Amino acid sequence: MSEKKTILVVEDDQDILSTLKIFLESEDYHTLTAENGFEAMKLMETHSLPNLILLDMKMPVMDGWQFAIEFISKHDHLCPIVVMTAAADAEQRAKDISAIGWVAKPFKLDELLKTIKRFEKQPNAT
Amino acid sequence: MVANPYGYKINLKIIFGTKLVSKSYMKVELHSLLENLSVGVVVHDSTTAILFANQMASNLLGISREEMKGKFSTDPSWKFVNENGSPLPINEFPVNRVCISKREFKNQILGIIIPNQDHPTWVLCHAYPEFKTNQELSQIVVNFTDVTKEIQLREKTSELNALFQAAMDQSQAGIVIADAPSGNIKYINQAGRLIRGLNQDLKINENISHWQKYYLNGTPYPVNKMPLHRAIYEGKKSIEEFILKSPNQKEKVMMGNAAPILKPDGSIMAGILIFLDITERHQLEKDLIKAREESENATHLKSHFLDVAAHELRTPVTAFSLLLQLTQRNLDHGIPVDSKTLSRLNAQSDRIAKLVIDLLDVSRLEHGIVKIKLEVTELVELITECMEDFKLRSNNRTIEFSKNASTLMINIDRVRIYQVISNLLDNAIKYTLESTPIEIGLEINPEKVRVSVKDYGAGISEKAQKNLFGAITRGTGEEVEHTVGLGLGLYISRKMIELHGGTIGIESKLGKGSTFYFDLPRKTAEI
Ligand SMILES: [Mg+2]
Repeated sequence: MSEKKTILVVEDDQDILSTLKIFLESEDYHTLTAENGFEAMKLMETHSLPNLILLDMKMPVMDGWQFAIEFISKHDHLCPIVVMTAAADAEQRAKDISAIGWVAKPFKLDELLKTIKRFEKQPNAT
Repeated sequence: MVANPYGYKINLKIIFGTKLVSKSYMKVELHSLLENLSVGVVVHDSTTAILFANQMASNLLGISREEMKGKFSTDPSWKFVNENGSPLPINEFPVNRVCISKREFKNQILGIIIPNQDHPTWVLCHAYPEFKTNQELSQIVVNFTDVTKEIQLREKTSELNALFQAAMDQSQAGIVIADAPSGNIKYINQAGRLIRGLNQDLKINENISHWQKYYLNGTPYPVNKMPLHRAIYEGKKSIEEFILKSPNQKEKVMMGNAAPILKPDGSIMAGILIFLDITERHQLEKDLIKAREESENATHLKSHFLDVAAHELRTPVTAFSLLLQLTQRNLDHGIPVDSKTLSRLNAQSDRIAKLVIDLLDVSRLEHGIVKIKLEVTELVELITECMEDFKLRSNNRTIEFSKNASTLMINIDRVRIYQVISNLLDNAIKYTLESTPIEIGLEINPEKVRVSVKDYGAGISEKAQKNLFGAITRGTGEEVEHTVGLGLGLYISRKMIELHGGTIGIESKLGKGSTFYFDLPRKTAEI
């Protein structure tokens, strides 16, 4: 289990969230899920930092922008963030919160996997 | 006393004053002097009969000396007019005045009517009595000078003056003339007074430095920069727009044109300011600019709305697509499609359908082509129906319904009001924790019916509340995003309630939850 990389998925749409969980686990990832930024921040209090965060932008309670600000101020850039956004200017949205990568909704699972593989933090890296 | 061609003795003292002429001079030159005099001289006896008239008198009166001799002042052939052109009463003839009062009479202007002459000959008359040694009236001397030219000029001037005055008063522009170098206002026309807000009777002694003027941006003009001031003190012409504050503090936008008035030697005699009240035009221009900005803003927001709407559609499309992709992968690995995935696909396609319908509604509402169909509806039943529907869809979420009547017949568009209640319930369920209850209220008052949906969620900040029901075409982009974020439902709900003549609103405090409500008027909505 400890060799598995962990991905934190923050997404308010339950169907997207559960589909991603099933998919990522089928790709041999360990997943943590949160329905908004606030839940994700709480989760990070009790778990070690994941290898990558998949972050939705528009969510109730605490959105992706707010989460990114709080997360980075607390953990610096120790964990790569990939933005999943339905915004027309996905790339700009990613830059706005200094995320390392982005996927534009709707996206293909293969495409998502490629992006994850490209940016995920290696377990041996510090 | 000297002899004259008519054999009559004239007392020259009366005519010239004794001290002015020597006796020898009088003897030799009197005749030619009298005849060449540019003053008409007529001497009457105490009964007003004419004893003597000189050549100029004959010329001015338009009658020969022979005809004049012995004629009384009461003779009907004398035709005089006074200054306003009406016949001069006989007792106001200079000779008659003196005859009656026995006193001299000076500076009377009268017009002599001469047949076949188109205007009176105007003369300035002096009449003097002459007494015998026993104080009895002996004769009356009348002398008169031709002042026709002066009178005609005076008439012309007053006519011009009246025209000028009329023109000035008819002018829509305010006209002010101020003296140089005092700066005191010596003339202001009617329009000027009105614009300035001056009382009609107010005396014109105000100094132009008391006129408070402001640049269009509201900062006051320094006195020495005001157009009229510059005209008077610098000889400069200028056209400027400025704000004038009248004594009643009403602000008016003026267009002013100031220029110096020069004396023939080129020095400045006065300054003239012609100013036009362009407040209305200015306001119109401002309104136009505002309207254009608003329309540009609306266009911008509409396109922004499309961006946001597309954004909003992408979420369920993503969920739908991911579910399909996963199902495909499963099928590829020999895992069959389960009914749970299918119902999720169904739900997402419902969500997409609802969004599309909402977007169509918004578009129709924005174009004002939505009509409501009123029908008699039992409101308690309608609310109950909607509530039960949501209980089913939300895993039996606690929804309570409190009402102050068991039934209410009301004239509404059943489908649209159901849509509104359903929107409010949908938001309450979506944005609050599952463990918290939702309370529907129905409050019936004599004037209105209030339906409310209360939740115990995070609440909505006052700032966000303002834009919650906002039109798509108003507010900033951020607000639009927020509106669309709530599934367009609140905007559509507001419009639907407004179509019923009602109002929609929210009472909310951060951390305490929100109550969304709508009021329907009973008078129009109820049967
Ligand atoms: Mg989202």
